[in-house]
This record gives sequence, structure tokens and C-alpha cells, in this order.
Amino acid sequence: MNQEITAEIITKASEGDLDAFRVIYDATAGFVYNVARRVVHNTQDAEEITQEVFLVIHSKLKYFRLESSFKTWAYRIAVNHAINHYKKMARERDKKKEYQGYSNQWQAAAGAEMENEEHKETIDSFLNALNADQKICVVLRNIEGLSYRQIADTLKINVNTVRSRLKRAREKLLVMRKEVAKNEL
Amino acid sequence: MNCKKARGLILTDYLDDQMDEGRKELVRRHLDGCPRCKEFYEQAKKISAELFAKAERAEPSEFIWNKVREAIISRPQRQSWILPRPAIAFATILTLVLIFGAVTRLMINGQRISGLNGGEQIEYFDYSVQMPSDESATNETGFGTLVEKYFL
Repeated sequence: MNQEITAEIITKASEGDLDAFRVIYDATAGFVYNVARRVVHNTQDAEEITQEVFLVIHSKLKYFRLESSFKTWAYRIAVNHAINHYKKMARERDKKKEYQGYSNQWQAAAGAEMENEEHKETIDSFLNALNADQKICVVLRNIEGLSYRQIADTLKINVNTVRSRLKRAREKLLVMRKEVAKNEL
Repeated sequence: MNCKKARGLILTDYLDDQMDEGRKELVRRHLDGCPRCKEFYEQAKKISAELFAKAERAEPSEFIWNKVREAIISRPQRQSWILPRPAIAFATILTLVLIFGAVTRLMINGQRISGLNGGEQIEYFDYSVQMPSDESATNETGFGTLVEKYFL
């Protein structure tokens, strides 16, 4: 079972105690990795991002204010790295090919019981259709289960901005679903 | 509540259970009375909640921790010019002691001078200024200072 991240653990880890830092890693690596994975859709890149995030966390631990939420702080670093990586990759991507790929996958999966792999691909296809800001809000809300307040604190934005991004992301997904349904007919 | 407002809430707070009971009830009543919004809600729920409810969460492999650990261990240590705190404290105290000593000495010298009467002070300053040995103290026309000799 993961040990809780206490002020003592943070202080020890900031002073170079690797065992204490391992406790921090065990408690947070899961969500860091999954956020990275959902944003970049690539296991290898997600692993690389996770490593970078923990090296940043390790180097900045001494500046962390103990009265703040460690989880929010760690999420923030993870999100920033994942989005930066995603934006870098997005400049090289062909969006039309991806949309076509999404459409084919949705048609194949519609009405059928999805295998895990297909289901994963459909989620990724949906997420791929969103911009970085919308995608991260959907990932934090729908997959990580954060509240609107927690998402706002992580991304350092207003709660209404979180609401607005989620609304636009879901509207986009609804429109895409209707388009695919029309093509089926 | 009109349909536009209801749909906005459906896509956000209602679907994500971020509303208080009172506002939830308002949305429910609207859905009960509006079949189109009811259908809209069903589609939104399918796209948002049900799809992601089955999302898998993967565990990061031990490989990642090993890489992080290696990178931390191989990081260069802090530069030696960043002194440990006790050394900084000692250096600060030593500096203050030296400054205090210098100031005290100046004050003592000042008291020595101010303790002299007027004539003794002049004599004291005159003593402080060394006259060249080949110069006479006075001459016929002036005070016999080097300044007079060279500039007047």
C-alpha cells in the first residue's frame, strides 16, 4: 500500500533521501503516467514524460510550500510537460488522416461490445479530436476524476474556464458522433 | 429553465455531478417535460460518462523508477561556492567584528583629537603632514608651502 505523503517525507526527500523520494514516486507515478499517456497517446513518450516530471519534482521539492496540496502541484507539472510535448508533436501531425482514422474506428465499434483494445483506441481517437486545453480538462475530469475546483487549481485557471472547455469538448464529440452516424446511413 | 440553459448544464455540472440538489432538481424537471433535451442528455451521457468510465489506468513500469533513480544519483553535486549555512554565519560574524573594531578605533581617534584644545589640534594636524626636509618652513614672500612654490 502506498504511504501517505507527509511534510516529513517531503522534507527528507528534498534533503536527498532517496527512500523518501521513492514514497513520493509510488504515491504519484500512477496519475502522472496516465495523464501523460492520455495526452500523448504513446507509451514510450509517456514514459519519457514521466521521467522528466519526476526529475523536475525532485529538483523543485525544496521550493514546495508545505501548506499547498502536493497532488495538485504534481498534477500541474505533469500536465505542463504532457501538453508541451503534445503541442510539439501536433505541429507535425496530419489532422485529416487522424479524423478519418477516428471515423473508421467509431463505425467499427458502434453498436458492438468493445474489446479493451478497440475501446482504448476509441477513447484516444476522441481525445485526439480535441485541442490541448480541452483534452486535458476531459482527461482530468473523466479519467482522473478531479472536481472542477481541483482542475482549476491544477491548471491555474478559473472554474468557469474549466466548465467552458468541458462544454466545448463535449459539444465537439457530439457533433463528431452525429457525423459518423450520418455516414453510416 | 429554457433548453439552451438546460443543455449547457447537462454538458457540464449535471453530467459531472457538480451541482447542488436544488439546481439538479430544476434540470430534472426540465428533462421530464422536454423529450428533445432528454434525448440530448442520453447522448451526452453516452459520449462522456459511459465511454470514459471504461477507460483503463495503466501502472507505470519499474523501469521508469530505475531511470529516475539513475538520473538523480548521477546528477552533479552542488557547486562548492555555495557555502553551507554555518560557514556563512561564521563569515558574517567575523565581518561584523572587523567592522565594529574599525569603527571603534576611528571613534577613539576622534575623541583623542576632540579632547585637544585648538592649538594642540593644529599642532596635531601639522604633525600629521610631513614637510619635505629640504624645504624651509617659511620664505620671504609667502607661507613656504609647496603649493605656493609651484602654482603662485
